[in-house]
Amino acid sequence: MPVPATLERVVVETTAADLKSFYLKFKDGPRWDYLPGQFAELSLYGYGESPIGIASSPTEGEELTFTVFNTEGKVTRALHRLAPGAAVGLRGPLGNTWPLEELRGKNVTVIGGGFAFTTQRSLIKYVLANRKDFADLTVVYGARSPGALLYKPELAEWEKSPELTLHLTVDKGDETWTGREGFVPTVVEEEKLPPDDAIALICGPPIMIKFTLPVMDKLGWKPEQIYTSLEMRMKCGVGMCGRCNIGPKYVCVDGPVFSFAELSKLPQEY
Amino acid sequence: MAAVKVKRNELPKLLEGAKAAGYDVFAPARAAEGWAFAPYEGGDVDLDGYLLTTASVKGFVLPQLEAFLSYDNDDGRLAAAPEGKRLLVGVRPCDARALALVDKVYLDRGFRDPLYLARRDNTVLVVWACGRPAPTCFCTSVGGGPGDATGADVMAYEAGDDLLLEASSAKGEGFLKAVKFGEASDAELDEAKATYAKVAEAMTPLWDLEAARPKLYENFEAEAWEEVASRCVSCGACTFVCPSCHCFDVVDEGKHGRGRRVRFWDACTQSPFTLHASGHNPRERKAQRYRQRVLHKFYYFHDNWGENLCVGCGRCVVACPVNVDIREAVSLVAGAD
Ligand SMILES: Cc1cc2nc3c(=O)[nH]c(=O)nc-3n(C[C@H](O)[C@H](O)[C@H](O)COP(=O)(O)OP(=O)(O)OC[C@H]3O[C@@H](n4cnc5c(N)ncnc54)[C@H](O)[C@@H]3O)c2cc1C
Ligand code: SF4
Ligand code: SF4
Ligand code: FES
Repeated sequence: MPVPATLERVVVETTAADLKSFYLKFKDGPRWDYLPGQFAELSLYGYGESPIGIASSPTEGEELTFTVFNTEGKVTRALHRLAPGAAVGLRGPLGNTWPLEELRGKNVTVIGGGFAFTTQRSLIKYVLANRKDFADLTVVYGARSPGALLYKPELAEWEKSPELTLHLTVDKGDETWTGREGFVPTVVEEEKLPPDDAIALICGPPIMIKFTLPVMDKLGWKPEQIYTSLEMRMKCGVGMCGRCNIGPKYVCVDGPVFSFAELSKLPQEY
Repeated sequence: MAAVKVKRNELPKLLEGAKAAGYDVFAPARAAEGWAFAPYEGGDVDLDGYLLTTASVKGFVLPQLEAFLSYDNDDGRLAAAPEGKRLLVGVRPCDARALALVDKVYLDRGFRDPLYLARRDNTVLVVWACGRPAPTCFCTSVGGGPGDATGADVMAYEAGDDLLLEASSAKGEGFLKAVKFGEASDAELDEAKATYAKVAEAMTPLWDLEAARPKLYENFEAEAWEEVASRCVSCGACTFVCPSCHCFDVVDEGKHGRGRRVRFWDACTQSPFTLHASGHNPRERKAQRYRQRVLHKFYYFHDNWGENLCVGCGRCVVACPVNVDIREAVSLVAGAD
């Protein structure tokens, strides 16, 4: 049963306005807790439900953040039309989390591309809030263009922060862009991201992952050190409706987070 | 509790007794297409020629379409759990076994589905052991059998003019206590069971699944999948008639802020099943989808729960408009190198 929440504010993230962040608060009454990497079903009565990764960290307080791409489908289009004050149902927390136990005390390497960066943001905020529980935090984040980068004010802060190393890149800059140009796999290669005592979390378009993995392999990363978050069409989110499986694993309950060691045992059907 | 003995011609009395005890009683009856469970209206239950209902019993616990939530603008309300005791007589062992398998997904996976649970709790399955399996039956090849009591509340064995009823769950016991009949002796019961064991032995095993199962998965990329699915028209009939296929889709229906959220049977053999909003579809081709159906039945479910999800009822073999046969599919793919 979706728990009633109120839309507090909406932030348009990209110049194309196809991605917006929705900041929600539970109404008085039932609520639930979550950890980085989990997702929720956003429910809009009359339109349906969509599984969306939680972009906020539980360390940030009461507001839950979801960054949603408008696919022009039923639910995401309706979400994009909402104004503050609107009611949204939240069913969750669903799925597993980023491997928080394994990450403790280790170097944390985040590699993100495009708008799959959302639950990685949750983890970055979580690490920053529990800074002494983790060693180095390194983030590579890329987007097609400067206008397509999410969380721009925050990225600006992180660039200056001594708490983490941020490598921002865009495929193609514009006249205002003074940063790096190039694809994520190239940045990973150039920066020689070290595998020592580290765990990497990689999310992005399939093509980015496809080209980044061999680079990491060359740098000495093992499949069990690299985690990703998968997406499959979902309905129930609780392992019943039967549509999100990859082999015997159901992404909604056994995932969405998997290591590449786990994925290597599953059929390539995603 | 000891087994109960009922004369075959006393069946109406038993069912009337069940009605008096507050059960809605359903029994197999001839329907437009084959057989269907129909409300028992009294009189003799003619099971001459009956083996299986065309649709399985799953609709009794997992309706083809049901509203699980209704909404009025921003207020949602969960549907109330259905009430009323039901008794289904003449269920076959394969169907009862299938429900026991679906239970794992709907009740044991972590989330307990309240509507499903209520229907399961309210429904007593009187399972009729099979004396004459059809050529399409292969229950013994997948772990079941003509006298298999898995998922049954009461097992009914025919013994000459008698019907021996043995409770195999607390629900079943409650029912047998509510209707008062004489006892069957252990010897009578053992003898009846032995005749059904013979029926089971007479069914030729199709494969050794312990050997075939890993082959099916190893042959994930085999060309044989294309062959087995080449005729498939992705109609979904096989999944709808199947007692253990339990996948559903969810949609909001309504106008002007009021409506209901419904779930309804869905089919993995149809392409929208896994279609992402982006247009990407991990199972774009029918061979990939049919492979999902077969591997779910024989490998994935087994990996998670230690049982085959197929109970060998043969309904999909009968229902397929283009004669896709899951038995052949398993043989062909497991035999491919
Ligand atoms: C674990 C997970 C996390 C996700 N996180 C995000 C996120 O942070 N931001 C974001 O923008 N998108 C995310 N998605 C994708 C998002 O769920 C789909 O884009 C969205 O459901 C499309 O819904 P729609 O109603 O607009 O599209 P329609 O095409 O109308 O789809 C109808 C329904 O099908 C299901 N569906 C369709 N496509 C998908 C899909 N790709 N994944 C899952 N279900 C689907 C949904 O129930 C949807 O409501 C995530 C998906 C998963 C599985
Ligand atoms: S897959 Fe076919 S034979 Fe097996 S249980 Fe389902 S309908 Fe019966
Ligand atoms: S019934 Fe036959 S044609 Fe229809 S989806 Fe199943 S295998 Fe394909
Ligand atoms: S979304 Fe229903 S089983 Fe995973």
